[in-house]
Amino acid sequence: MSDVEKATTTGRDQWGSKLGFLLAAMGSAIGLGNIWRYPYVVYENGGGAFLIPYFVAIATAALPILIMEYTLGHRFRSGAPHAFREIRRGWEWLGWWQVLVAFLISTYYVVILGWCLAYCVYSFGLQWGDDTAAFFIGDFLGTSAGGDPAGFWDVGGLRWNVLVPVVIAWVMVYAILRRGVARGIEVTAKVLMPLLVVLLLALVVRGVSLDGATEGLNVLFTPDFGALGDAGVWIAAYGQVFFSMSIAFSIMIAYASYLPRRTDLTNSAFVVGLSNASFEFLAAIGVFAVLGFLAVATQSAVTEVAGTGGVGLAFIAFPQIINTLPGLNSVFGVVFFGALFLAGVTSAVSIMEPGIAAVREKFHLRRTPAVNWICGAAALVSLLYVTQGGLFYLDTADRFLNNFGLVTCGLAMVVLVAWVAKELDTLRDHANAVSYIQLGAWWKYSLMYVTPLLLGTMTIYNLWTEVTTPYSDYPWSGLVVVGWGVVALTLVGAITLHQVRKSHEMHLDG
Amino acid sequence: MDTAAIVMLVFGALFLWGGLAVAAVHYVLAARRDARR
Repeated sequence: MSDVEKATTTGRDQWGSKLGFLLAAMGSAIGLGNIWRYPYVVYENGGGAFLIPYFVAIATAALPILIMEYTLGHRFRSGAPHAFREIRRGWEWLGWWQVLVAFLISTYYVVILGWCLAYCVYSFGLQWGDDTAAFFIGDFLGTSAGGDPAGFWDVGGLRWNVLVPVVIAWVMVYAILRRGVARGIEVTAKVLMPLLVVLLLALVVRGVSLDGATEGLNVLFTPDFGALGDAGVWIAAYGQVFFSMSIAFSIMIAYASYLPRRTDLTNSAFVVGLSNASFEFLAAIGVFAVLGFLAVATQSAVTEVAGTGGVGLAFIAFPQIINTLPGLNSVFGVVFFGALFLAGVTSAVSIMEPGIAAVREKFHLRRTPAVNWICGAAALVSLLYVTQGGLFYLDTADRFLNNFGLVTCGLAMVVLVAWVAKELDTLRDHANAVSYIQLGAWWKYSLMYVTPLLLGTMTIYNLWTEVTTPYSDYPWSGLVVVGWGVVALTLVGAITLHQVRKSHEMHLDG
Repeated sequence: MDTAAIVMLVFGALFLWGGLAVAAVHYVLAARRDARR
């Protein structure tokens, strides 16, 4: 009997193959941040020297948490709320908290996918013109007050030119999720992941062959070993691996719950974690090679043209680079925004899956109604980001959901599992029973000491930064409502979902 | 490129891509061992 047939008979989704799971997990981890965040984190935190704290962070935080989440999902054969409830009856809220943070992140993540689609089209004929910043903020997004934070509460109307590609992106995400785990998520990952690697390789090859590429690579990789004495650099390294690996989202718990009994969990985590890191390392080479080209072409320093990464890099700096290329400009644009879209679509699908799994388990729903509810609700919320004030709300929600939602979810998970429930030995035994690589003291002590210490430090550091300096000069009212309010909403929602309909919950036997 | 930058580029590539290659080969070998059982 095939895995899919077994899944049908047990009533629970299952991956069609272990390779399918690996590619889907890689697709989840490899997202927009690998392309537009990682290169800048390296550049701003000691250049090549940053690789040392980065590797330490992978070994002592990313891989240990990834293995723990795989083991939680695999052991309890359920999404995060049910898995945490199995550990302690009163901890279901923790799973819902992670699910709700992931759900809210998905509401703006798909909007950015819509931007990528629109920019694929704008690449033909370089429709963004010479002033790419004015085009993005003004012509495309129509941001209130020309992007001035004073216009934060000026919601404005829907931007139809943004809405159309966002709707297309939602339809694609919905179609993939509706087809299920094996026929939807897995098949998509099997097609898109190899294609993404090909597109990235094309970008890198083109990038390093441009005049000035070495200037950019020098800026990226020349090490400043003095930076290793700066605690902020180590926090940045742990922050990077934490945000990059799809951990504390409850994604990996849901994905691992669809695995067959006999699956090498530890080695899977190594393959997925190192694939993600290898991809972003390659992306950094491509990004800084073309930034070096832009610097030489405009007779500026790389540090001047580099900017700050993120949305600005993708939708303002890259169009400028594409304008300056000596040939095949439109093709390069389509390849770059296509790569961003492909990286994002597999991540967007994975961010929605924990909610679907959790809702199905809690409310006895079949997959289609669960997908309808979750995608429908998320698509409705995403309309807020398609308004003229959308960029402000997206930026604020992203900042607070990442810095406080994800980090505190991760901290709570590690502290509760490692220190309160003292479940690490049980989880280690489970992982070792199905894996060839045996987990030792390294795994346990990383989760007991290193991860809580770093996540705790990040939380305090983020809190201090937020309280002392209003983010992006946005009004306090905006930060309280859209930032802190959204984080509070996830926690209140989690406690509420923990309380409802307990008598009707589904108990999965896998 | 500067020598120091090349050294760090090679260091990163060896650690990440080398590590990935080792993990992938290990995974495939383990899967074959499982299939033979």
